[in-house]
Amino acid sequence: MISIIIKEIKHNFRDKRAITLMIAFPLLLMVILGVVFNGQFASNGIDFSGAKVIYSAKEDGNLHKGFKEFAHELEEMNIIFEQIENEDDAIKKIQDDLYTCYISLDENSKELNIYKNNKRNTTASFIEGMLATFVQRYNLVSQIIEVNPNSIDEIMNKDIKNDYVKIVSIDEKKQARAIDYYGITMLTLIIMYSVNAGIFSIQGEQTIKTGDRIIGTPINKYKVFLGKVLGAFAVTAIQISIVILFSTKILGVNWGNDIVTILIIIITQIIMCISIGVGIGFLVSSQEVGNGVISAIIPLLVFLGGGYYPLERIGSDLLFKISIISPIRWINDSIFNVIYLNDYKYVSSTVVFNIVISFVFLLLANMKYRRREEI
Amino acid sequence: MQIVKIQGLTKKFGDLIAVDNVSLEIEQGEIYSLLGPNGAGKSTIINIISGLLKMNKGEVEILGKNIIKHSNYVKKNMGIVPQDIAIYEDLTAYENVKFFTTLYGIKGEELKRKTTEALEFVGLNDKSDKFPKSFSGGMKRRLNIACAIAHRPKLIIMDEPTVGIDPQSRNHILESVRKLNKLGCTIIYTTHYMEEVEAISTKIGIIDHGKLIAEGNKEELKAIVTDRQAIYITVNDSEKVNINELKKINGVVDVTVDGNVVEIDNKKEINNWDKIITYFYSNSIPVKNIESKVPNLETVFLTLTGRKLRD
Ligand SMILES: Nc1ncnc2c1ncn2[C@@H]1O[C@H](COP(=O)(O)OP(=O)(O)OP(=O)(O)O)[C@@H](O)[C@H]1O
Ligand SMILES: [Mg+2]
Repeated sequence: MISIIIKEIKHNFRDKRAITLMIAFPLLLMVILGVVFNGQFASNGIDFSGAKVIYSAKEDGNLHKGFKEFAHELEEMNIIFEQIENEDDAIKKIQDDLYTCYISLDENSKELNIYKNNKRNTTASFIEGMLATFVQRYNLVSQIIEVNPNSIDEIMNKDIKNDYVKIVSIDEKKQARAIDYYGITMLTLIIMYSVNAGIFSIQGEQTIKTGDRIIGTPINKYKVFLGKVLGAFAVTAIQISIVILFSTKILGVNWGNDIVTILIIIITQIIMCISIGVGIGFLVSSQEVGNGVISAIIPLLVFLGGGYYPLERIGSDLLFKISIISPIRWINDSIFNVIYLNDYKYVSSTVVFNIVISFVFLLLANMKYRRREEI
Repeated sequence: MQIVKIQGLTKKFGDLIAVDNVSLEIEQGEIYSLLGPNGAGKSTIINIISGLLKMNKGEVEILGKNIIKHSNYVKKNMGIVPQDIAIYEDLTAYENVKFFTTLYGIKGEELKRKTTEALEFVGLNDKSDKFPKSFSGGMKRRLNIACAIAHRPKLIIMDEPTVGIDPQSRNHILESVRKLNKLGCTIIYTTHYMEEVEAISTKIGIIDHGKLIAEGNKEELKAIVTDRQAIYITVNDSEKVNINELKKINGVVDVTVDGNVVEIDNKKEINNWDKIITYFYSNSIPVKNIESKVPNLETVFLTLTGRKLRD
């Protein structure tokens, strides 16, 4: 089986043009898009018009003063800050979705709590991210509380103070620049094209008859199958590592603090794409058909995933809702959330989703494989 | 010992009966040629043996074992040279042979040795690190063979290993078939080239429309039609020849004229050449050349099937 894996790797790396394309293409796009959209990603260019935040501060002091300065910075981005006295009132307002989030400060216990609606909200996430810096600067303990409109009591009764979560902050300088954005989205884009590697590993063998020859040998056909899938995975993994290495070392793309989690997301994405490719490889009659199908679908999925331009900025609600069907949407979101917001809530669902899709396609491929005539 | 035993083998593709109740046996050490025109069913039989196709009916035993129940054992001891060249263009000759040999579970030093030996055997050892892209058709065919023999199978099946190649490569391949046979391999060889069959086979099966219509060694097959001989007489002016007069001679079965050549289908056991020559002499028809042919496999084939091997 090892020899099949090695052979698959050789096939791919001997095709110098394809391999260069798979590596150079995303890097080039990162640079180009990074430069072209540079202005739009600078933090003072972001417009959160209409976003309203309420906050309360127990006792006046340095913390409150600092927070005001912080709020002032954000007000330049059209986020409105309002102070409020009554905490219960504030939470109610969040539940009713009147404000983006509620921040409570406690000078004495050096605590900062963020209450937010459990609706998906980028502005809230952004503020969280900004606050993280603030929290670190003032050495605060902080936590994010999601408010569920249907379970008010639960929230109220919760002993919040015993449940501190420390937010690890990100460096202020490392806000997402264009290059950071495209460094990630172009990577997840190019991984999508590893579907091709999956298709090739199945179809390539059929067109040149070597598949028949392999059947004539005593090797178990499931080992061949597994060897091919692993081979395609290895090839893609090597390519992607090179892209990652270049993009971080040369282009300086920010990968955040938790590289392991991001790698896990990326690895499951590769597995998913290879499996889809293998599945397609068995379903279609020729490599050309397969490549045609995916070169039509991938750009669409990437677009919906915000791969070319952040969808939030286009500002179409409908588009945003449709975009949920794109696996790239999930993958990109979970990666950005980990890097910039320390937010892991999408990670597990994305990983599970990737694995489930992989299984579905591998199972499909396996069914087709078993039905073939040969013994 | 019987290396191959096929009984009542039948394979249908829809309405088409590609292999029709074929039974044959091949003894150890034989070079068995399966001879038949395009579409006769040769490759189909081989694909069934190699496990690529399922049979509809019948039973096949290789080395005394059923190919379905003991497919692993059978495949280990068999080497198949497919009709369509099946090699990787982006792997070197050495890597190609090595890869296919690993699939037989051969590893390490043994793998290297056997790979090199196979390449030497087909005369490609000086090209081992070259890619097949740069190979001629004949060299690709030879590599195609090397990939099937490196694991030292007891039975080698070659499906038209010489189509579309230069005479030199063909001779090389025929020579290696003989050498493999001397080393103890039993060989099945399919072709539609009569000369190859004449040159190497110890036993021949003639197959047409999926049926095995005759079997035996060269002599046995020729015996089917040996009561005849063909006499070709070249003359200056064939218009003077009276076909009916010639036919009156005892032993002459048929006479045809083709250009300046008079072809006489003649019974062998009757001594009538003197009468034939006298006919030409007494009618003042100058004879430029006389030639007589004993039947070859081509005639056998023609007699049995009513068609030529190749059009
Ligand atoms: N997979 C298939 N599906 C349908 N028909 C097939 C298939 N394979 C072969 N046939 C048909 O079966 C018949 C026998 O084909 P086969 O390839 O065995 O002939 P062959 O003797 O090897 O001919 P050739 O000398 O051209 O290689 C042909 O009529 C062919 O069209
Ligand atoms: Mg054939």
